[in-house]
Amino acid sequence: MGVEKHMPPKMKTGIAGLDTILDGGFLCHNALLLKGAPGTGKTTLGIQIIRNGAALFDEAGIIVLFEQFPQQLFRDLTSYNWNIEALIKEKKITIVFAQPEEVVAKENLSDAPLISKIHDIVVDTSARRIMIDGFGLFLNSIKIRLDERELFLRFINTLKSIGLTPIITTEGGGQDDKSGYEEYLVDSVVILTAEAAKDKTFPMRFLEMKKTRGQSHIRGKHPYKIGVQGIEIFPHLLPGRFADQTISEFHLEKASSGINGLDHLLGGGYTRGTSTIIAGMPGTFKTTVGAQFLSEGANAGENGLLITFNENPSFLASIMDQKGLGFSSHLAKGTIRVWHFFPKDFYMDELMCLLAEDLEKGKTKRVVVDGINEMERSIEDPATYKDYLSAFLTLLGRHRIPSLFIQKLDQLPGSAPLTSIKYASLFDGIVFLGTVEIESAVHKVLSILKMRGGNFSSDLREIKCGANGLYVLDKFVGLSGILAGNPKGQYKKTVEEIFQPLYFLRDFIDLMASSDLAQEQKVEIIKNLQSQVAQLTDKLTEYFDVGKEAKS
Amino acid sequence: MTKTILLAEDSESVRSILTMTLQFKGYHILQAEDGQQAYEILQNTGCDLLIADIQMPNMTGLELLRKVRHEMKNEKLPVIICTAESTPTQAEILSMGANKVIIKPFSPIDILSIVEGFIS
Repeated sequence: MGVEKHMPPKMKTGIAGLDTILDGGFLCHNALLLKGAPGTGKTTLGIQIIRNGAALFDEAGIIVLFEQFPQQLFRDLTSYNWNIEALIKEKKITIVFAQPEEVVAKENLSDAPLISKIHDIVVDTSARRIMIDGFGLFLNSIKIRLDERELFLRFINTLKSIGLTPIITTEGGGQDDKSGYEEYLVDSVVILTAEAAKDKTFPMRFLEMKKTRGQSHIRGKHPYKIGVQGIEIFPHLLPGRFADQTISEFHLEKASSGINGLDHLLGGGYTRGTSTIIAGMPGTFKTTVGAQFLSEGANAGENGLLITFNENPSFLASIMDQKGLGFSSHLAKGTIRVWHFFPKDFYMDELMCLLAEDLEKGKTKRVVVDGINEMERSIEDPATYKDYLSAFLTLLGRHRIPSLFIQKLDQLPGSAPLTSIKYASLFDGIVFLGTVEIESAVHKVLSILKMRGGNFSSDLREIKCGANGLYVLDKFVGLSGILAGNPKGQYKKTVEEIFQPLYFLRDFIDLMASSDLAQEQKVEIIKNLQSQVAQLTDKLTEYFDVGKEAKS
Repeated sequence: MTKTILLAEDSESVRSILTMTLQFKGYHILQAEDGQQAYEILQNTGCDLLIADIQMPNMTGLELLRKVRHEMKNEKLPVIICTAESTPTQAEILSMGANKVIIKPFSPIDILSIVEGFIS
């Protein structure tokens, strides 16, 4: 008979991201220290945990404030959708405004008026959580009389002994901060930081678990935002997070691109669970390729998600409607959804959390990200972008979502195109889109440079947009060097239309000069030579635009 | 008896040059603008020799060659392949069943002697 491992009970914070980081919450009765500089949201986080306990888990709570006046607190709290007043009326939350002298009234801390007051509230309301705000003031008040370290330890132990889980806020936690003794005496330490970011319209806020005694947590700096719901935390999800959630079975099932002719080149379509870069210079149908992929899915009952950092969704929809993709109708029906982010206004972890949550619901079947360049700008430290992308792709792959990532190129990819495409090694497929000038006309072209797990064709094809979106034409006959910006198709034409007639003229003039031909044959040859000279003259006139000035 | 030569060539210029050259020696010429047309002519009419360009729309000269040798099982028909490109190589084209490879621009007089070598 096996021994069942008893898991100690946890106190849910009710903040989804934080409970994810803590695998369900903090251990009950473990003392928690929230440490951060002014303005990082310590008090907000502490009150939110108390409020969520009362509102979501039927656990009454106590808030002890040293720093705030009641009016100021209520004014601040009304900016959140918490309805604290109602919880206070129901005695689910009790607020205690304490004076420092209440803590140090007597030598024996257990007899201090504050402890007695808290004890009475616990008896009255069965409170399970307590938040002590403004720990600095508390310290200042007690260090005159007793050893502060011992006092602090006795204080939190007393709170624990009457069944409370203490949450204490204190200042500090910046880069120059040296850990005070309080960090050693509590069970869990949460550090909150806010840093000015050069590329963001708001300060970058991060939460980090410095210590969690008796339990594990997700390591790293987790970004958070403060909004009307309070603090929202986005767990930092790196590739390893999904490593233990691999796909048990992998089928090379295809998802149609929606583009006539492209599926054939792709070997049947994009493979489900794989990610493909759509790379090209501006104006080469990149976004349309993505939109058509989503429209095709929506028409076949597969809901799509477009994550864009560029176009306004309604503007994009009207452009795609003009191309015959019925985008507005799909948006109205919800079969295609658009998440529009400004690169400077979001955290990559935020996007990842939203996407993970969305994919978990199982409704989204196709994803397009437009574009990969702009998404990179949301990252403060470019060195970490590859990790984020890798996590992003793992997440999509785990849900077997076929996805397209649009990448803008600044120049033609050259003779070694794969090397000019950023992060190429992370992706399963790469489709290149470009333009080429042939005989003074610009043609748009498409070629598949890489497609893992499928029989694909790397033919260079012309791509056009008609009444029902994009379609792929036959391959360019005789052209080479297009990706390097130097199409050599002119060679074949020059050989056939200029040199071949010249060789004919040369050979038959030689024949005339060296052979005894019948008059009849000579007449025929001269007739042919005249015909070729006339055609050649026309061709050369057209090639070199001879006589243009005279005509104009 | 007049021999018939099928020309599969998308370039009008090359087609007219080959036609004039070969007619000068009295051959009967059938013209096709692409591989598909040539294939249909071969199925319906037949010929004594085929001259095909490689790069043509709808069906390339190499695909036409493959169909002649493998689908029509015609091993006897002499096939001359014309190309302006260096790839595939002449050896590769010959290994696919061609009897001769000619690089453009070619000498029309040389073509006459090559053709005579096959169907004189």
